[in-house]
Amino acid sequence: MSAAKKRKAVSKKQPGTCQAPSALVRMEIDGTPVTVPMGTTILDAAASIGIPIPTLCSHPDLCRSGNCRICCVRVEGQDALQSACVYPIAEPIRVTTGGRDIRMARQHIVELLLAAHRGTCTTCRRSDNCELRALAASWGPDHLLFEKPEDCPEREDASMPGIVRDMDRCILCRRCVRTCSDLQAVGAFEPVGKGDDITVGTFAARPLKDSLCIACGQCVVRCPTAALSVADGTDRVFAALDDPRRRVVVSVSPFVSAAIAEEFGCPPGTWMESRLVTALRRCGFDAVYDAHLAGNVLTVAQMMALLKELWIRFNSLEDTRRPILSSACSAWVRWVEHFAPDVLDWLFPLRGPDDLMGALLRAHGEPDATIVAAVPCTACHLEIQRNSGTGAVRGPDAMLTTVELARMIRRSGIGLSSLLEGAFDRPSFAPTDVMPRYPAHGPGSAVASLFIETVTGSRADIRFEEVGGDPGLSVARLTVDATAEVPDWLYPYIPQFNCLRGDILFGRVSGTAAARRMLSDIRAGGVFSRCAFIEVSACPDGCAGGGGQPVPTSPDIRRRRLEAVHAAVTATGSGMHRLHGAALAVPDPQRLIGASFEARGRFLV
Amino acid sequence: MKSSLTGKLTFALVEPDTGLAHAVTMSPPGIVDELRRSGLRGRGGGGFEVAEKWRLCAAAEGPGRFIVCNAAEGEPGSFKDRAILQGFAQLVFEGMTIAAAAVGASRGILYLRREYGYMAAHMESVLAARRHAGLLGQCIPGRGDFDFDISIHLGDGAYVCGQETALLEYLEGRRGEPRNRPPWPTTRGLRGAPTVVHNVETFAWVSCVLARGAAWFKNLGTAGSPGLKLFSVSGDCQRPGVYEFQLGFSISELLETVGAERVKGVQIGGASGRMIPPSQFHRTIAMEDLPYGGAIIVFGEERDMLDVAGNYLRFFVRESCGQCVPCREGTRRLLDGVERLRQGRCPAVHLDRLCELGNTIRLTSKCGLGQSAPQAFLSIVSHYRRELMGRERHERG
Repeated sequence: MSAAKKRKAVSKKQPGTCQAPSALVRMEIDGTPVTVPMGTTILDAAASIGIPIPTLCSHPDLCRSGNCRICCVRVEGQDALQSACVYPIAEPIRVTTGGRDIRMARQHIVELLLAAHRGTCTTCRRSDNCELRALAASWGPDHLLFEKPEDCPEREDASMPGIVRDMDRCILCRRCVRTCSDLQAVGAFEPVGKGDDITVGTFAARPLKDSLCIACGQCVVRCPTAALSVADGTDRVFAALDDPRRRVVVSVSPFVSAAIAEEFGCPPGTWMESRLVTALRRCGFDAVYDAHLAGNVLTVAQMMALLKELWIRFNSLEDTRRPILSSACSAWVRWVEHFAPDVLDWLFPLRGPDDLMGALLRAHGEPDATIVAAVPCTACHLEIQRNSGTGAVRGPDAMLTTVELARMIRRSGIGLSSLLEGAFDRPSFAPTDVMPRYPAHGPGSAVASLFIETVTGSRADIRFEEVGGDPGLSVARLTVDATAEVPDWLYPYIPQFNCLRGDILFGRVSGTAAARRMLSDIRAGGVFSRCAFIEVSACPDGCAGGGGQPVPTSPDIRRRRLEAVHAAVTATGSGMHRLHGAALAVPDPQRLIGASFEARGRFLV
Repeated sequence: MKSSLTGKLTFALVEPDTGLAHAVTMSPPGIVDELRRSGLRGRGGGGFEVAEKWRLCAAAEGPGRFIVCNAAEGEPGSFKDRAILQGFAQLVFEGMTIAAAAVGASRGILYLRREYGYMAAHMESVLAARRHAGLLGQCIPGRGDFDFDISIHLGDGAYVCGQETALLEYLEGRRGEPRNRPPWPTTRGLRGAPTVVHNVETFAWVSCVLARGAAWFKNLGTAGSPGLKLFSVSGDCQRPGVYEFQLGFSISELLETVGAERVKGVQIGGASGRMIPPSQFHRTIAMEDLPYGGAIIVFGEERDMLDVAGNYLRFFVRESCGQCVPCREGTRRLLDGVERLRQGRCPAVHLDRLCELGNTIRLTSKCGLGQSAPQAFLSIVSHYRRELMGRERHERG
């Protein structure tokens, strides 16, 4: 292992990775012998033989921290109990996971957390999905033995649209801190103060909107309680629905259909689209549209811009090799604005799909309707803010995340099991014979697929492969050997495809910390600097892991959601350009699809 | 400053740099062996064997090695490190240099708490003189390949930075909070490199051991805790100050030396230590009996033990780094308990619960600070329970 990597391991407090991975240790947990690779944690070793150890501050996406101590176990020969989640096994130790000390300790820890947690379960939206409450049910006492602190509620911070931060409910597990700095390379949160004054705060205790927060909501889906939650926008939408004179329509992102079933007790990866359409009609929406369409329009627009750029470069004498970055993800755009404003012009200035869908509906057939977008994302609000006042056609009037949408369905008194299947309404801009379900936005391969299908005339299997074992970074290498005729609609952009012969690389990046690694790779002349186009999403595993998706999240849950989306994708790219053409057939299409960004930098004065 | 042995501190009697001169004639394992024979244990409170720490550090793989001298001295009632730095900084730096020679380190850091910042100029001048004399830098006498230098790093005052891994985090520019262990600093310490961290006093004793020989040191003190040690004695006594004792001395001897009468209890080891009642004054200060810290505080008969317990707990409530639950939340709840006791509203059954909670804090906290935070409270409850429970009930106020 390199020195740099060792240092990283230290800084992330992940001990025990210094040994050769091949070395095995034979140890014993509760009398059961088990052989594990050197450096395995006691928690993982115990899990491998089916011994459950409770955890709270650890999360499958984050480095282990060992600060809640609920996973304490006894290592024979040591006076103090040890945290199983951070204890690397490096010698043949004997571990006990039960007994009076441990039982009492866990009860105490739960109780101490409850005593410091000022929240009322009966009015808490996370109460049936709260990790603290679940721990209390198993390990907590029957009644609180130690006093609750004086009630001094801090003010809720709802300054950031879409995200609410309520420090009264915070139990200081620091998952948000680790998420924000390690997964997202933002660092909006940090522990502030010490002792009984400690809190998780923003820079200079500013409200979230005045911090460097990019609104990705990754902290929200990893918070064990309701200290971080999605702001509830259902009341506003209900008010619109309750008004009989108003026409209210909704567009649904495919990533909502891939995850909303989890809110109703279904396993992750359950695809629920047609019943969702019926449920939304029952909620009172006058029309239900598929936001996939806007994704497709965007895919075509991105491919056209890419072809145009490649043709310009082919004819240019200068070596202008640098990748083009997607801009479909609003949190990613905000991240670039803050942390890498010098590469803002590497982004195609295009709108994100859900915002675009609202604008398309408004421009075609729904000028007076209240347009609602059902999205997996907490950052879409930023995009609406960004586009307001720029002369762009206004996007959706309201956004509902997956969890809000589920809440809305429940509050409408709709039982999902009894619903008939429904079909999306066709927006007036979509040609009647075209309703393609092309691999849509998110960390998909839409642009690459359409590119290869258009240039070579046949479809190809796009395989993204991880770069350097980093799950956030992958690259697909496509080979253009035979080229098709340039279709008429592309002729203004590129007169011939022969110049594209050879290998062409497409990149895919998810998570803004991975994006930062991607940018350094480009600057160092690595594989990403040779990519033609890189699709970036701010959330790990893209929109499947969006900040508005159901809690919990894990690599496995997100993989299942992605599989559900991909299974629902069937059609080919034929007709995509007609959809694109029809959608943008307005006097000034730039007002519909264009976007402009602002170099914000990291200084907030 | 007095020694119970000779009347004068050993540090004042040892000629500076004789230990180093001796050490450079030895092989690195030879130095470690000499220390092993002396039986010197860390003087910070943990009492880990010095030679073993060095052996582990020397044996660990790593990009370079570091020697860190911990002058955080945050323990309330401890001031002997300040006295050592003021009077015998030479010995401390000499000890660090010997450690570097033994483990193969090229860089040393003195972590000086901010409150001792006034000493920084003096320290720098001592370091400059040593560099000038060829005792630091690239040309240490007798060892052509040996290159070691020491820099000073000022702290920012958090008590927890006295915990060695929190200190390392702080030196790396992060929030000073304890790390998960293992790995221990000897395997992966400062910037991932194997690191030896000792208290100021430990390094000074290293120089003395090398100067006078392991046998001299081993013959002093007890079998399990050889040698001499400095103590900061304060509180209700006539002659507070820094004292040098052979380990294994009894508390009554101590009280006689410092002129303390009508004593209600003696707190051994500062805030993180424990309260010893008069019935146990025959007990001795040594690893085998009462583990030592640097601070001994004498409480006279008129002291209110509940106040003492509350005072120590308030210290920990404020000085906990706030990272782990038992220490952050638990000490608060114990302090609530003290308040209940004061109001006469704490039934015996609740006091037992508080003691169980204290036991959990001791067992589950992440670092030594948290693990020892409830100790003063627990020892006071066990020895002065009747006094604590005898409050008249009054209303919350």
